[in-house]
Amino acid sequence: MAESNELAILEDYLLAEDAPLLEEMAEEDEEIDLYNEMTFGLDRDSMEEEVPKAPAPPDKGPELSLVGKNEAAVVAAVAVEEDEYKATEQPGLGVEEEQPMLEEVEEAGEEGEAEPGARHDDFADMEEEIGIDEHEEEEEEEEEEEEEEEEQEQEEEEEEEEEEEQQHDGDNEEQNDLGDPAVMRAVHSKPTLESLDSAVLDSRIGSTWGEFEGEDLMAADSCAWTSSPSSILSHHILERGYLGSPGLKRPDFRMMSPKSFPQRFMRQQSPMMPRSMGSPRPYTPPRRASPLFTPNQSSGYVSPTPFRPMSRNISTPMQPLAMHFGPMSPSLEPPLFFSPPAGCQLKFSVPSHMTQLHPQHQRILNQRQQRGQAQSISPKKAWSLKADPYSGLMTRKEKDWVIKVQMMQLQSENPHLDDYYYQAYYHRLERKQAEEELLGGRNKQEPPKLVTPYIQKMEIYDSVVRIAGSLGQVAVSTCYSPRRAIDAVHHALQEEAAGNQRLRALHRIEKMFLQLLEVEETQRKMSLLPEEQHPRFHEKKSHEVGRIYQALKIRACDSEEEAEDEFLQVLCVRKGKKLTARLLPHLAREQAEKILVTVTRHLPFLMRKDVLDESLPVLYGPLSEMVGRMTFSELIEVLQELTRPLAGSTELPLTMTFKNQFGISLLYALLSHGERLLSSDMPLEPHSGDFEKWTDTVFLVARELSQVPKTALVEPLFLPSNLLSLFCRYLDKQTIHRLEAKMECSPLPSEAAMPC
Amino acid sequence: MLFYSFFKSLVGKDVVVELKNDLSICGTLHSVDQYLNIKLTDISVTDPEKYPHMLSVKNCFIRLVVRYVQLPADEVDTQLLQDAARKEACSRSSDFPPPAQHAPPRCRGAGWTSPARQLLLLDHGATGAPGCLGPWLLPLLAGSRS
Repeated sequence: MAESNELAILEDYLLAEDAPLLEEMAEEDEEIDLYNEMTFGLDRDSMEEEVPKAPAPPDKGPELSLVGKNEAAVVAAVAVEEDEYKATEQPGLGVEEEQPMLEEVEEAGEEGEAEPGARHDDFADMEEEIGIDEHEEEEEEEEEEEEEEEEQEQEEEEEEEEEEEQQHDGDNEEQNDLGDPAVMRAVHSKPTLESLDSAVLDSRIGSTWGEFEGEDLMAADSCAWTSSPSSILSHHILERGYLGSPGLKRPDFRMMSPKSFPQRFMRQQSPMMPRSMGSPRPYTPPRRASPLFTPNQSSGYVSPTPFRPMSRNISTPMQPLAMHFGPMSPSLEPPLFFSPPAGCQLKFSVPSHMTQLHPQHQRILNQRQQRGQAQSISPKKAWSLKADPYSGLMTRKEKDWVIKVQMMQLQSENPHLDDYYYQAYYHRLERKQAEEELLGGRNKQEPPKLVTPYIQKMEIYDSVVRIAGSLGQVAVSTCYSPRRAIDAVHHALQEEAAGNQRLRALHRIEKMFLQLLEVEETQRKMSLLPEEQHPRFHEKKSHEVGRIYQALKIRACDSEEEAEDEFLQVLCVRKGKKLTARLLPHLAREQAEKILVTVTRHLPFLMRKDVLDESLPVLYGPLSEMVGRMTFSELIEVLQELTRPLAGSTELPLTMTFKNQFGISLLYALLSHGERLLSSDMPLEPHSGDFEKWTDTVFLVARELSQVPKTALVEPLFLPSNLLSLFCRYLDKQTIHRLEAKMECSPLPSEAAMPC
Repeated sequence: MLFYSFFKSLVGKDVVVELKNDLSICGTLHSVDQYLNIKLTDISVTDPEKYPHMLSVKNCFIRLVVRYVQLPADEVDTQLLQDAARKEACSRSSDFPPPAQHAPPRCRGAGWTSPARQLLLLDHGATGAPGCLGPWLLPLLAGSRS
């Protein structure tokens, strides 16, 4: 075809930085095939999905396909293109065919010259590449981008081009510097709207196409095509009031409707038409990624790859805006939550109206945004003003539709359960900040109002269908069990029989943890409910707590049986310690005390087992609280445990505690509490012999403490301040000084040093 | 939904994403979706010499190619994460047998769901003390429902 020759020339010219060289690259066969592919290759659309990367074509692209329906109007508006358009028009083809026409036209406009027929291929190429970009955008596989980045030479571009075109031929499998066969394969498919999400687009957008006509005319009239079409663009876009979201700082081009396409289309053309083909613009920094589409997005929309180093002289006029739009593109992903990038000069939009952020989260993001605004943006300014022709490909309605689809997947009847981590995390953060506020009188923070869930579930389907009198069940797929054909129920009881003790302990711990979570859930619900219902919940809660306590199987045991004792086994595991620590606040006093006694009694054993883990300190908090509530007699009892010599040796557990952080902390806590009790005026009601035991204990501790070398002494988690006064009461000054030196190995560690 | 919820709470924080092609990208987590696709803004590559093409990239969308996500340790509440995993495992195992047949079963050890199973057999050695480990790696399960 004569066309193809011309096509080849123009195409090469367009796509390469060094135009003249490309002109030599014309290969007719490929051109012809390509053209045919573009025109008739409707079945190739499915291949678009795999298109990862390809040379970034000049922008244009599929948006033109949107315009397809009103192409007549569009084309009419651009006088120069008209004849070319008609020349290449093939009546009876679908919009897809119109698309290459349009691209032709556009490209003609951009180039400002070139023979009519030659434009076909150019557009086709661009189209393909745009399609590739689109997918590139979608998939964002770094390695491919990387490869593309490296192909800065136009020869490579040419190769790719050729390869793309020849792809379906199967010939010319010359190495693609991209190295990715998927790239080559995908090229031929034409990104068209109809091929993807056609239902969406046809049904919803059809009505809006009519608006194009008027706009086309307006666009045609509006310019003064200055050398800064970007300013025009932004002006128009601002005019249109596309700033739907209140919080937007810049025009969010994602919000633009397809109405603007013809405008942009024409703007692109006009300024470029008069420009000669003399020299392609030097490559400008890669355009920002334009709106990133969710995977189910129609890949008919193409976005320019940011990584393509090839110069697109066509696109350069648009580049000033690209920087605007690119980073803002993610602003409208449905289930996504938005945060303005810290320090990014382009203010990311606040979350769209359809995203739901916890108010605390929202506040944090806003703060961050404000901080980011203050930062300088000058180094990026240069290419931040370029236009992004791929922005605004979707109307607000389309976007909302897509968002709705995604949100529907995420909606849940029980957001607190399904979204547990997020809700709980920010709830805690809020509470902490509220506390800080109270303490520090810090800042403003209005009371938070939790955002209510969005779309109500319309239908509830029963995942199990039972037909009376049938055998078995009907096979119904749900998202959790897509192929559940039989009513298989898993009965997990084999773990109990597993010989592994540790496994059994872990299993028990997990079961108890679930019960504990229930307890905490009940607690939380109780706090939200009015007073009248508290007793009921309280009863339920204590019942549950009692059950867990039973499950713990705390009982007295001798030191020989320590390894066998179930409770101690639980305590040997870090998880078990955490479980106990979390359970302690809920327990009744006697139960908590029993735990303390058991812990103290078997302290050496536990300390030995804890050498690797060092997780005993997690128990310190709840236990010390427990200690603080004990009576004197109970205290003495507990202390007795520590001072009783270990079986089989004369060693006291006391000496061992000095070497263990938890042990020494517990000891200090006990002593401190005793001292507090004694120095207070409260009646102690001691049992007989208590005071003697107390003094004995104190002396013992003092002696051991003075005997232990300082290097072996471990720093406690918390050093009570009244220990010295305790010792003062009983000991002489010399000993006290020595003890003081021993104990003050470092500044008093605060409670905050304790692990929670 | 667990990891989706988890990542939602990290939106706005700085993370390092290591991809399956060994590229490590540091950036601010802009958004995440239920498929755990990640959008990062203001990115920088940790090894710029090796990936010069990334110099000009400021934002990216990463889909399905993540190997690791390195998180700031103080932004993660591991205890809460464990609780969330337990709850999810429990609700998942109770979802599996048809609810019509049994009274809502308490978690039966969740034979087939990995979170609970892993919880059972782990002692949280690695996840226990994030603070002292600094940023720790969270290997992503393949999708939020594995």
